[in-house]
Amino acid sequence: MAFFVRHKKPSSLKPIANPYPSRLQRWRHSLGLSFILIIIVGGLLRFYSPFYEVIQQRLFEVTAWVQGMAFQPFQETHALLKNTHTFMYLKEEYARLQKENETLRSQLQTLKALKHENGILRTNLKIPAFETYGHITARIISTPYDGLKHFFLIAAGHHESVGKDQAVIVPEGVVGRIEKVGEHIARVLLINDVSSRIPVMTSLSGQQAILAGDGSFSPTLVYVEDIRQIQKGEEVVTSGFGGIFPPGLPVGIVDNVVNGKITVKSYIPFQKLEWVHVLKPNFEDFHKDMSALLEEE
Amino acid sequence: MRFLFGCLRSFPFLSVLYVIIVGCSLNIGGHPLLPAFFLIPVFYWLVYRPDWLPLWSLCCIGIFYDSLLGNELGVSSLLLMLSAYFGQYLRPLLNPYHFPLIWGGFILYSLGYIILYGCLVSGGLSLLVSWMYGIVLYPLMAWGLSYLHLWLQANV
Repeated sequence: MAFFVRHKKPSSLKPIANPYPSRLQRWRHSLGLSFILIIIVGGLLRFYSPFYEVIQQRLFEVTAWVQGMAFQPFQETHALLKNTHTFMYLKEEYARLQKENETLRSQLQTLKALKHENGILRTNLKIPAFETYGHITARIISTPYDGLKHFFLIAAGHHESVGKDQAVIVPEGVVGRIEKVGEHIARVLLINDVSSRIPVMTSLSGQQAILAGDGSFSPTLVYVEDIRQIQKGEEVVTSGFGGIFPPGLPVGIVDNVVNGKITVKSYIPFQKLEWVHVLKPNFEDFHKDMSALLEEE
Repeated sequence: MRFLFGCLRSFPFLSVLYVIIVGCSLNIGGHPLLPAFFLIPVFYWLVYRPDWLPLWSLCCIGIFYDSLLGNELGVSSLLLMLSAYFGQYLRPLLNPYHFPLIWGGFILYSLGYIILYGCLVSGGLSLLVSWMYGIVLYPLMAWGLSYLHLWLQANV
């Protein structure tokens, strides 16, 4: 019990008996003036939306910046340790990258042929071009979580041309979308958050649905066309409706179908993520393709 | 000198902010430590030195918390200010030299806070688990805070 000795010693810790000696101080603290003023001013600010949104935006930037600064030393140390580890195993890393490069080169050759074939088929069938996407890679600063909202803070904002509602992905699949943007920081709403809704479709049965987050790591499919056709283990991809996510991005697989409730297991290892890609629609290329198609017609 | 004392007196406020910043990214077994984790320093200072954690600082802490965690601004501020309000009446009932009593007080206080918080922001099981983590971690953090308390008491 030596652990609690500090609390048992009357001589060392002195809780103040009367912290507010004067009547004014007592009144100020005992929710006379302060509480009422704070409630009135806070209430007015809350319900005057133009002002509230500005305050909310500024506070988001300030708090994210403060948190980013607090985590900076830990992240730098982590990066340093990681770099040291990479440096120690440089030879193995070089061999791995060389092997990966060879595989990617061979895949690229196949993709070039497929792209050419796809282009010819599109022209023959007169299918309009899809939007093309570029991407920005951003580091995850932190994942504030208190059991309610699932989101990441990433080190990219207006300055890096990140905008609201842009899709956020990793090589394994869809992570979420940009919910709030600051100057150098943005908040990513994850697909498993309760307020996340993504239009998706199943790859085999072709059923369109909405992927709704429920706070767990297994979001559910709602508004499904025909539940009976959906099979366990089927892949779920984005359908492209809504204009935020391009079609065909992997989301997860159907994990369970019980009593009309379809749960989807995401491909993303949310706990291990360090970097994400923010998709930026490339409107110039899209307009060029569309103009070329219209000219041909 | 007054400025220096003012800075020292803001340490309790900064300690709560620090706990929020560090605690928001921590979880055990997939369940978060917040919000019960940051209630530990709030409760500690409200019991021992409420004059070092005045209403305006609780309001700022609440706004900071809501902004960081993406809640509606003002929810936590309101709950924290209510803690101070009820705290001033309940404080005389707690014997500060009797640790289990203070611990029991924290259990009840954090349960009340978490129930209200859960009702206001639609929380679930994770909040309950966070409450349990808070109870377990209270002695350890109170022990650390007592050192800060003693140091401040000697210098302010």
